[in-house]
Amino acid sequence: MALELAPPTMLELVGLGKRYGEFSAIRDLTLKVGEGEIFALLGPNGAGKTTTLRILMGFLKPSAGTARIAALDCFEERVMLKRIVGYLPDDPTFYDYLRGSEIIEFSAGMHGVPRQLFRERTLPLIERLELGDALSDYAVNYSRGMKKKLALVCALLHEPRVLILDEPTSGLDPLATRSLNELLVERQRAGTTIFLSSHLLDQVERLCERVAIVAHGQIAAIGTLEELRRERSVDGSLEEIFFAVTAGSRSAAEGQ
Amino acid sequence: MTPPSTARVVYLIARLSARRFTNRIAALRARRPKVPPGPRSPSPVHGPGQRSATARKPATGRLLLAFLGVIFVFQTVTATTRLVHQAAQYAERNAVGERVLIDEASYWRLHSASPEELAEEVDGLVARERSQLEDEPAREAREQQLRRAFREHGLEGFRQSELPLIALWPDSELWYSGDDPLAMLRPLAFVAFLLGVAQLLQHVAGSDDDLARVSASLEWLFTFPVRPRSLFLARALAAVFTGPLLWVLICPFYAVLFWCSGYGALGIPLAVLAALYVALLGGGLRVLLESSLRRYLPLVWVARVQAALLTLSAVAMVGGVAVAYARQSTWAFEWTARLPQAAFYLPPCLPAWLVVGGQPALLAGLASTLFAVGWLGFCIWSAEQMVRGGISSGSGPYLARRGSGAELPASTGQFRLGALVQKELRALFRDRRLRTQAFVTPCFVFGLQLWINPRLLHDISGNPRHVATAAFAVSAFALTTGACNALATEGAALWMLYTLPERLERLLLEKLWVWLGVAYLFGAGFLALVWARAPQLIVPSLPYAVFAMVGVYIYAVIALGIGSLGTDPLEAEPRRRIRPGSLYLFMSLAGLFAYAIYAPSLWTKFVQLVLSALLAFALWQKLRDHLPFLLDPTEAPAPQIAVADGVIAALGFFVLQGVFVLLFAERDGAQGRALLLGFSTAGVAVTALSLFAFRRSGVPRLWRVLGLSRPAASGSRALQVGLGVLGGLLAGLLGIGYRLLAEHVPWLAELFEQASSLLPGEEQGLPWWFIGLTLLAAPVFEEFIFRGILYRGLRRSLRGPLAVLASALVFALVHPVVAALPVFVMAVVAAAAYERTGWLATPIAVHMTYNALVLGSAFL
Repeated sequence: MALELAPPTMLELVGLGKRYGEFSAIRDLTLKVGEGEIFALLGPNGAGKTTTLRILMGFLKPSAGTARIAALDCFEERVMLKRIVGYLPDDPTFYDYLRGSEIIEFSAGMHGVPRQLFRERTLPLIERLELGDALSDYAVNYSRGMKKKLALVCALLHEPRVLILDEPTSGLDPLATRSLNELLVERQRAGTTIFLSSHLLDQVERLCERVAIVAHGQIAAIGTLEELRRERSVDGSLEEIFFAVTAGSRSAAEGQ
Repeated sequence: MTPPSTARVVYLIARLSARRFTNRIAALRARRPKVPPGPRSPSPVHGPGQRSATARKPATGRLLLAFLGVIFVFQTVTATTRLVHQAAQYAERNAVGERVLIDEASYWRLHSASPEELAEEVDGLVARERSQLEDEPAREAREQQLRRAFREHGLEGFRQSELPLIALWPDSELWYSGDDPLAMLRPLAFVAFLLGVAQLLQHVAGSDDDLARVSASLEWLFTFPVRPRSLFLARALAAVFTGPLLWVLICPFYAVLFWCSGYGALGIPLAVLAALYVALLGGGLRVLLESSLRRYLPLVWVARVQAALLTLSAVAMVGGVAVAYARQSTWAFEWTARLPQAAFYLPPCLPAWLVVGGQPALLAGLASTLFAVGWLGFCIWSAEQMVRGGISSGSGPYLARRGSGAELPASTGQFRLGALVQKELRALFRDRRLRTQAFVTPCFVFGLQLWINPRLLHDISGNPRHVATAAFAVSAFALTTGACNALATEGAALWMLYTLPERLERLLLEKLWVWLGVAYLFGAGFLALVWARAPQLIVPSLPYAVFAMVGVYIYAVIALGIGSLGTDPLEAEPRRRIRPGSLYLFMSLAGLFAYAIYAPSLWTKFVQLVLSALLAFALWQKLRDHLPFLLDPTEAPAPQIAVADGVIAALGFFVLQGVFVLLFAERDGAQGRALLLGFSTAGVAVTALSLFAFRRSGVPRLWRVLGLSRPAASGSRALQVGLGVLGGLLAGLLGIGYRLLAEHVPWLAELFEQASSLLPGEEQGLPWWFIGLTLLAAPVFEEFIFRGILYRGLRRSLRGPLAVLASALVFALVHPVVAALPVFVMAVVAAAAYERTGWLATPIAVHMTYNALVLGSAFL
């Protein structure tokens, strides 16, 4: 009998909470992501997904609980973590006086990518994402999809072990979406852990193994798609599971 | 549904703008204070029931801006008054011809003097006139003029002036109404023209919007079913509200003009109308240019035209202001006197005709109104024609050809420059706003100063210290436009810096290199300018210049600290991201440093340098504490003792000491007792206030941190105090040895003599106050401040030995120079002992023993 060992934990949230004054953005979030997994955080708008991602990136300090990546605390050791973490924000904004190629150069220099490896790392990515023609243009003129692609190149060029993506495919055309998904799967096979937030359920269904559904700042459901189907006795797509879960949590929240 | 009428559209857009304005003000007031997590949710880092946040300070930017506005209006009023007075004097002089004008009182004195007294009276007149002028050449010229008039024409050479001698406030007395009504109009209309053109161009080109890009708000408005002319009308009318220059410069200018020319209080509403007129001209021009430039010029050229218009506006402003402020503007008056009358019919200076009064004024008023309406109509009509083909949303000034293939360089960077420095340099050369801020603004400000006061350069060249101070001022100003904004200029792309494996403060320090370079460029340029004019100054001013440039480096770090701490990247409006108070704080501090350049002794300079470096370090530490919470609207760093607290406590101690000693000296009379009382009171006050402040901000385990209670598992108290006494003995013996040695060194012996004159004489024996001061008060309070607070703050960021040396250095510097070296040794021992035991009693024992030994030996 093959021993099924759970992969080592790469990302761990324990009782994570964040309050802004009276308002609780997230409450008591607990989840684990193993190495080499693709994990999705789903939820309606305002559920607290972006707050969670910002805590993971060390932008914010949690009010309660801990967030750890590779056993390093996300806030206290955020500088160390940036060496192995790559980030793609929801709506990337770039310096408005730099070209695309210069921004890539800047990122590579700041991450300490050695000179010899610079072209080796970046050219394949650029070709893959079909960014080549636009690189000589100023980043401020890019369409939304192209900005995301540029940010993705910057996130990947230091070969991170963990990728944190905030709504990666929102705003991308179908071609770009497909190439992005292929890229992510490729990275995952190479061992990168991917943690993304999204509200495009059909995308997530195709891409991710495990998901967590967040609503009103708390986890309403977590597990693989199969487990969620069994739990909710819903036979169908992720969309139906999602509605079932969030309807339940909404009524629970209203009842309180 | 019928689309709304033009009037309704204008009303709706105006209401929208008003709402935006009030919302912005309300947002400033309703900043959420940072709230602690509360005792119910114990944070594992801080422990249960402990506060970990501090309240946010309210935004004072609005008040400051209002205050500045008032000052600006005041300046405009006084400068315009002076202009009117000068113009009147010039006009009167021209009317009188060869006669010399003197004031009424002198005139009657001359005429009522007897022939014998006349010569004396003339001398008296000359002396009085001379005393009113400021520099030698002007005095000489006036004396020659007076004496020649008397020589050639006797009493007839003088005429009584109708004008008052000094003009402070607008008054109709200042107006000269002679034969030629246009005599006063010409120079005033000229200045009005310059200011009007400046305002027009400023309105067109000076907003944050790039002309080449259709602003998002306009684009959005075009999606409504309204005719373009309504939108353009609303936009043109909005000119009345945007643009502060209109109301703090042009309106007061005209108000003074109309008041002095005889309208009195009626002049104010007339001035408002004049300002409205200029506003409408600007609004129409902007609407016209926005549409036509985008339509007919390639987009890159639109940006260049915008930059050119902005420069022109600045030049016009400078011209107008310079004529008003300059002491001798006669060249302007002479030149305008020669211009044809038609030149003053130009639209921007039409309102000035009102000063002439009578029929021309009426005609001018009518013409202005008609022209404004006609101009507005024309501009709106033209704009409407031009957008019939749709509004083109250009991509703005940043255009590059789309290349083929990835143009990545072979490696990352050819030079050893950091990637961040490279990015910053690119910003400096490509970002128009940044370039203007960094280069154009300082040049503008200094150029203006030199133009208004041409003798400034001459005065500076007279003294080597002036040269160094001026160079420092130039560099410091460049720092405010560059280094202070280091964090703010990251703008919305700040998230990129957060994805990098480096602390944010380190990244900001790397950015600082570029701005330090710019500041040095300005300083060096200024020095080159002065040295080229006066090469004999190079050698004497060189040491001061070097000192000033070292100061620039320290103040660059201070600028970065103050600017970054005063920046809020979460603020939605980019312009409001940096607090204006921060800039003024920095400039005040830089002013303090300038004082050091004039300090007579090398020692004072050294002290100031070290204290500035300490301030820079304190800010750096605060920055390190605050930056991790920059993007968090509610969390704040845990309260801790910082170097900044030590600096404030030490500063407060010295200031309060001075105050209390003065207070007690007045009451008591006995100087020694006053000294002790003042010292002790100051010490108690500072200690109490510090404890209270730390308590309130919630520093955890306060007593332990300050060394007021012993650490948990430490040895016997006697041992710890004994260690202190031992250390004090060692330091004291060294001190005595130093004193003995000093008797062999002449200049040191002299310093000792001076110092001992302050001590009580030997015959009196040791007064009790002296013992109290040296053995009780001084050790206790000084140790609390310098070891308890300052050392604790330093130790947080520095390793033990370095913190010991640094706190000892600061301690030695605040003592008189004669005692500096032994005090330094004592402070090192005290800090080291404190590091060892963690209890304040130890360094207090060191200090007491040292004082007892050294001062006891002085009396034996």
